[in-house]
Amino acid sequence: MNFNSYLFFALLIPVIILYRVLPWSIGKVMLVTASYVFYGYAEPFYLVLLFYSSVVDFIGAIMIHDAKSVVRRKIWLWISILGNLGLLLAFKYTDFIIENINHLSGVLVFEPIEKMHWLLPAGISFYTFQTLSYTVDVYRRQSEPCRNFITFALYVAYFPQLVAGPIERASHLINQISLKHKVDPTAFMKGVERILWGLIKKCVFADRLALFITEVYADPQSMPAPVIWLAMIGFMMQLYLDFSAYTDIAIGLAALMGVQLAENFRHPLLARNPVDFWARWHITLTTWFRDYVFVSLGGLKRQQLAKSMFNIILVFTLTGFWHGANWNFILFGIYAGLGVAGYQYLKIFSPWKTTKPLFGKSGWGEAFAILSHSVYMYVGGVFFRTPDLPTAIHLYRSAITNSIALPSTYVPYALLIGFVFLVHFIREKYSHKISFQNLIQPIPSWAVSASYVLILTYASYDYQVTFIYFQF
Amino acid sequence: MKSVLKNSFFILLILLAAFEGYWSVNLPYSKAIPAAFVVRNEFNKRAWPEFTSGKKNSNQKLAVLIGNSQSCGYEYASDSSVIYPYFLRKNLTGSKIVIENWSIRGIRTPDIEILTTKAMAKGADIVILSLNPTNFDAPENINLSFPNTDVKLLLSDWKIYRTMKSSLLAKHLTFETWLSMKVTLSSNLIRSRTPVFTSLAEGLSLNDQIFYFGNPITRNLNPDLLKTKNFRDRINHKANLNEIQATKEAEFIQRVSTFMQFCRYLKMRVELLRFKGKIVFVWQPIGMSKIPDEDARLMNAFNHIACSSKELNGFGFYNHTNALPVEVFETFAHFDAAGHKLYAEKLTLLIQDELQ
Repeated sequence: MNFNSYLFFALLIPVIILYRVLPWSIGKVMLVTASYVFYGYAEPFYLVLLFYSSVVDFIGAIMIHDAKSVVRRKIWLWISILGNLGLLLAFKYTDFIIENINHLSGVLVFEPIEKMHWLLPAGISFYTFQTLSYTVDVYRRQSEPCRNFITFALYVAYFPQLVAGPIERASHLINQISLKHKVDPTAFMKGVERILWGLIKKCVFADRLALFITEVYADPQSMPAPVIWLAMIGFMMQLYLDFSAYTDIAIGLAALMGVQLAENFRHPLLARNPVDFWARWHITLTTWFRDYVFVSLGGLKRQQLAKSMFNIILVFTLTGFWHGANWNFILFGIYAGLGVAGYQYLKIFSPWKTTKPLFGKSGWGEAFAILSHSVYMYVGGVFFRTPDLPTAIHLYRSAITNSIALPSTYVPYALLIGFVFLVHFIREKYSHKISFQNLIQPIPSWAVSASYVLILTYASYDYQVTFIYFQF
Repeated sequence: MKSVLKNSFFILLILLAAFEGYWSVNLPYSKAIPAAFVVRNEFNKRAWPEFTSGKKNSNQKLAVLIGNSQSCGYEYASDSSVIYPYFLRKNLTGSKIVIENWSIRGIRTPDIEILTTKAMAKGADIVILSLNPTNFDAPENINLSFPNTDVKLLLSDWKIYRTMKSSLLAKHLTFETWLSMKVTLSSNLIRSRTPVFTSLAEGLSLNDQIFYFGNPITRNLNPDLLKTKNFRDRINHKANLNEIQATKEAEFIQRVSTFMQFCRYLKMRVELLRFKGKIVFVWQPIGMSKIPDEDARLMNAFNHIACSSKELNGFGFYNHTNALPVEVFETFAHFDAAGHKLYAEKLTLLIQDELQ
């Protein structure tokens, strides 16, 4: 169920009231039920998969922990890993694999295989990764297994972050949802504010940009080059606003129940380099890949240039592939991996290696770093948005060869993009000098929230446009 | 009390209640601006109170007229006394028959479905559907995004919503649709959004309207135009005409199918509501000489199929496509004051006949 829908908020109100009044043993069951209702509303079959994932990892983690021998521990770990990845493979990647095998049917002479056309369950990549991290943590003895199935089912299905993260670690979330929290009015209002702010980001900014970007990407050939560049910049901004809006709402919803979810973004539009970008963008996914894949592969070792570079590119390729079963996501991952690997090479392995920022510490150097990285990221974002490589190439070609006029009709979009960028710049650059929290402290929470409600009412572009990351 | 006033959340709720209860209610959207017999608010939308007005008077016979801009008198916004529903009512003065004009500029298939259902639920004695083929959309274009009216808010009535499950709109109806209509209808703050947009948008170019206000206005775009290449041309309605022409024929076939399906569903709803009155289709006069030959051919083909359709069994059907002389037409679908008077005479006889 979309967070930006009436039905969600209509159901949320009784859920929060019940959370506060019910004893925790019943309240927890109520929260699991509510989470299942929110998730299964669009397609009840999704619930079977969610339940399957919960059962496999609940049993798996206990068996790993209680196993007497290393072999048994490993067997149960692999049962959990294959159980989760199998789910992901079956529902997300089967048709992609069949499609690519079928490409070979002409050469190897065999009948093309029929595609499965299975439904892609919303958020499957998020919750399988979340449960996977749990069993791996238990295997590594970094976490104790949860022995209460209701608590564990709530950890897997916790509705604020089920569909699009943040991908929570068991050690962080299970401990919090094991207990009922007393939420004081100030924290509650902070949650309300965060939800409203997320809705503004989504309904006022991201959805407004979406129309323009959709149209430019639909037919770049007929667009002047500056408009295409604007759409390339706008898409990364839309993606950020859309996804971070979901995170804001998720964090706000959890705050209404006294739970603190992990932050997922830290002004990524102002990243100085590819490494900096991935430390600010979708942080819970990046750290997941770092902790569970990159480290397992051997990580980055100063003495092993080739292996380190390979590990980086592989991990980012997998990150790209995590987003979707499409070659474009793989290309996006390779592109991101090459960027990070290239940067790490310059910083660590090259003859010019340095611990200082590549373009110096001055304001100009920093501005150049942000600008150059932005161009790199906006160009790469095309892979994320276009359905295939020829379309991406077609768009790049149009961005270079089309006319260079910027029609006045697109000026408002340019100003909007500039405005969003400026807000980020001010918050990033001056947050250490002026505390924005302190700055708005004198404004009462009710006044901030009321103005957010009014902005939402009158400035929303539309209601109930699905979040982009729901498809992953 | 003191603790309530210290609690930010309660203050927020009180503030929102104040917005709802005092500030937003003063927006003119909630006011019906009475014209002679066509109630229309200043945003050129059909006024809400008319559709929701109470039960019919048992001493009278209620005739509900559902039509498009022609019946709504779109060009005569300041003077409804020149449009045919006015003459119709004048002609019927003294009889027990009361005409309510529920017509809407640019009426779309979902509007027709919802309004017909409402008219049946209200216990109309006769529902006159005064339309032309273009009011029946291709199935892919039937959804809840129709901008000229508040009619979809009638779906907040559970009886109407439930009955509409037998309609072309059915696949777009979920519990959430009902809920969002209920919320929209109940909240002055949300309802005031559209008139605020409309007021602010006056004087802005369509491009700027789209940027600032988004879908409430873009929804109005012809879906055909959205299929063409250049987005900005589409917005400016400078579409590639060849492309549109190519799709017209296919689209007219779809319109026929919509019309047939519409009739089938209408029969189902008549049974569901145990409607005892009559439903009459009247094909409005069209100035065929004002449209390209190809369009006229398609229009005639539609009429021919519609007239002979067995789906019309149980409903009245009158084809007035060629009922008026060509000189009364200002555009292909809109006639002048003289045309309105002539058409009113024909409809008066028709209604009297049907209600005898």
